[in-house]
Amino acid sequence: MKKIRLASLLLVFGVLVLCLLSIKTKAASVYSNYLNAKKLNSGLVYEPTLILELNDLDELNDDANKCITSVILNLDNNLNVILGSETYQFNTFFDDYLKGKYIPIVRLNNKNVDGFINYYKNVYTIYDLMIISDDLDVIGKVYNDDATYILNSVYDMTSIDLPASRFANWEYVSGCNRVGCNILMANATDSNLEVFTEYVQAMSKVCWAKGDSLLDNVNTLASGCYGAVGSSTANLKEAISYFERSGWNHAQYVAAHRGITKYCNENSLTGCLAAYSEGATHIEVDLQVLADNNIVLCHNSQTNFNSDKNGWYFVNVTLDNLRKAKLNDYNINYSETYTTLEELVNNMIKTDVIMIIELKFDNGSIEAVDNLACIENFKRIMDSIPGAYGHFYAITFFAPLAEKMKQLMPEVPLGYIGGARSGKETTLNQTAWGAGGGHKEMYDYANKIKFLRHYNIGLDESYTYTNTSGEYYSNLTAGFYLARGYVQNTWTYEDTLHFRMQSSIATSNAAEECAYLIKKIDNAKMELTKAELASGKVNVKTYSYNGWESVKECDIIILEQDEKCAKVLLYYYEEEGQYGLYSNIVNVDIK
Amino acid sequence: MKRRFILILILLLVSVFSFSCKGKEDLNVASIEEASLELELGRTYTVSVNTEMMESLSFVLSDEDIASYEIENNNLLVKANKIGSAKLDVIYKEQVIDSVDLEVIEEVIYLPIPTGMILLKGVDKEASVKIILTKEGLDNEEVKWSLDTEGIVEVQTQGKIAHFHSLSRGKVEVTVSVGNYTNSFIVYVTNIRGDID
Repeated sequence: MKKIRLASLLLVFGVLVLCLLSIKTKAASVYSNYLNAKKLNSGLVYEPTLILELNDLDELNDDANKCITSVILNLDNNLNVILGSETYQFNTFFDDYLKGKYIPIVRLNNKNVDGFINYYKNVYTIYDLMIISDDLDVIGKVYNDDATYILNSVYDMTSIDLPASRFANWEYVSGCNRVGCNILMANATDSNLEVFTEYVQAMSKVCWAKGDSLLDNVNTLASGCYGAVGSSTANLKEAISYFERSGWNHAQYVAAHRGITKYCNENSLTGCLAAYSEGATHIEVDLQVLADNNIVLCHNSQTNFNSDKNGWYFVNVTLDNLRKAKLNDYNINYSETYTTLEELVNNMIKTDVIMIIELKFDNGSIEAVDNLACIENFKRIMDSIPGAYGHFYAITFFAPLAEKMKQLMPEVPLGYIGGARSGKETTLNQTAWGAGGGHKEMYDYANKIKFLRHYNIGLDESYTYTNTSGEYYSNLTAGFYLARGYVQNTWTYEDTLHFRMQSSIATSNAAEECAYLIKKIDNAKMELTKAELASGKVNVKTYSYNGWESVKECDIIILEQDEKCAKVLLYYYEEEGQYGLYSNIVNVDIK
Repeated sequence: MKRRFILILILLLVSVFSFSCKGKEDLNVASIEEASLELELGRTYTVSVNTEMMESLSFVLSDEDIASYEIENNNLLVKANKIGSAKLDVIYKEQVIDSVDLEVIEEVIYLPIPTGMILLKGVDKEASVKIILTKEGLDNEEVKWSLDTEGIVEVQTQGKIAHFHSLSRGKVEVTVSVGNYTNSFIVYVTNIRGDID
């Protein structure tokens, strides 16, 4: 009897152990495909993403012509999908309705985030999943986990009143960057949406705005947002249909590459201030660290190519000595020497121009990175200038510099511009960007996202070459990255071709050629007769990139109209440059 | 007696010498790089103090209306509060060991060409200049542009912006004034190589 009892106990124990083992070894289901963004067939050069906040399953059925790229799902604390009064298990809901069709964006809070991370790791791992939260700590938690760090995220700011002051939005950009979030979602009815969008996207982040009505969705797009969020598929589709003419729903950003170089020395204070004069929205400059820890502007590691001194390595020279050099790559008669980082920043923060600071630092050599502590000194200098933060973001080719930025200045957006091997990696016989799995081409979507997430960097590169069909390569990849919070920026253009390219911030050696192009159409309330409104044309005040005012003829696109008033968009087109631009919504009183 | 007197004399000399040396050491504790500083009204500057004993130093301003200071992360920050002059003394053990003359001036209106000139290589070249108005209240003031020489450049102006188009070789001084502020710069139109005659 005793033996039977012992055998039974052993049997039960064995079964229990097997059960436990089977639970422990049961792998999570994995779905690793990445979807491309839906083409909207609008006229917008850089097409935005349309996102549906799902409250009703019928809205997915309305997406017959497939314009919705992503779907926001509200989850309860047990991670079930909430739709009205119904709840659905997340995994079956995803498999039945979203898999292969839409990018799911799950709404998280501090009550369900831990469960979500556990679920993601042990039950259902979906690579191409995004999260949304109104709590940056929640996003930070997801980003800090070894498995969920690859998820892209959205900071829901719809309950926050946006500030009227442009640079006050740095608080939100820095907060998001610190936790690894690239998309900021505002309320589409906020009166400061355009100011917010213009600044946030100038800092290489992505803005979405959420609103339920058709006008909210149009306002989102006309304010320049790269993502429109709504709960009605029909409204989102109709909103984009108003943008069928070719052009931009916001002024493309133009960065003067190394300042203006057509009549100034490159990387000089003169050239940078001339960029402000010529209406550039950004300047792109390069930094070098000196032997005495000062930092100056220069592209190369030596003085050879742009001054009258030959063979001086920046890492070996002090500022006092370097000041003896005269810049000469445009003209030595300017009698100017190398500009320090302090001089640049103290001048540029008086303007609206955003500095794109390329971290060259002796090509990321051990001398610059470790011995001269270039990033530590970069931080020291920026910390010492009141108001400097918010006026710049950084870009780099080199992993050691990106790693230090993540560690020391996590609030500053950092853009990846390519996969060059740093001096430090060369000395240590390492491959470029070795720790992150290596540089990935733009078409290697899954690994590129993983790579960017690893370093907490944004995408800043783009290509201009064409495929066999003659399409610009950048224009094929842009939508994919944009939907996930990454904008294509840098390519150094020699002309104004960038207005036809999906570059959010176009870096140009010909920024001065954009000075008198129209950057903004006035959207003050206007008074028109019925006949004038019906004519479809109106003369209206416009502002060029450098602020020059002129009156131009614009097309009228009527959004809604009754006997007394109308809401319209204005559209300006310049045949010569094939350049089009939309206004924000204009209220019209009908006489 | 004589020997004792000599001994006392030597001790006295040694103590005087050591005291004077100590005073000299104190003077070396800290120094300010600049003898004088020009500060723009309303701005805060980091003044560079060469010292490893910041916590042992104190500072005294001759006029606390003109400027104020604070120590932040071992940096001396000086804020310009009122137009005028003041002296900032660095004190160590109740002794003034260095000082800097502060001159608070009106906020400067910056012209965007700090070298004061634009070089256009050849005719039919273009450049724009937009002044930066850093002082509040000037936005509504009229901006006036004038040239001292005709025929070198063609200029169109609109508020803060002037657009230059080079017509012939030469030099022209451009003056811009806003309210009570005036500044000027030179536009050179050179030969193709960019030499200034």
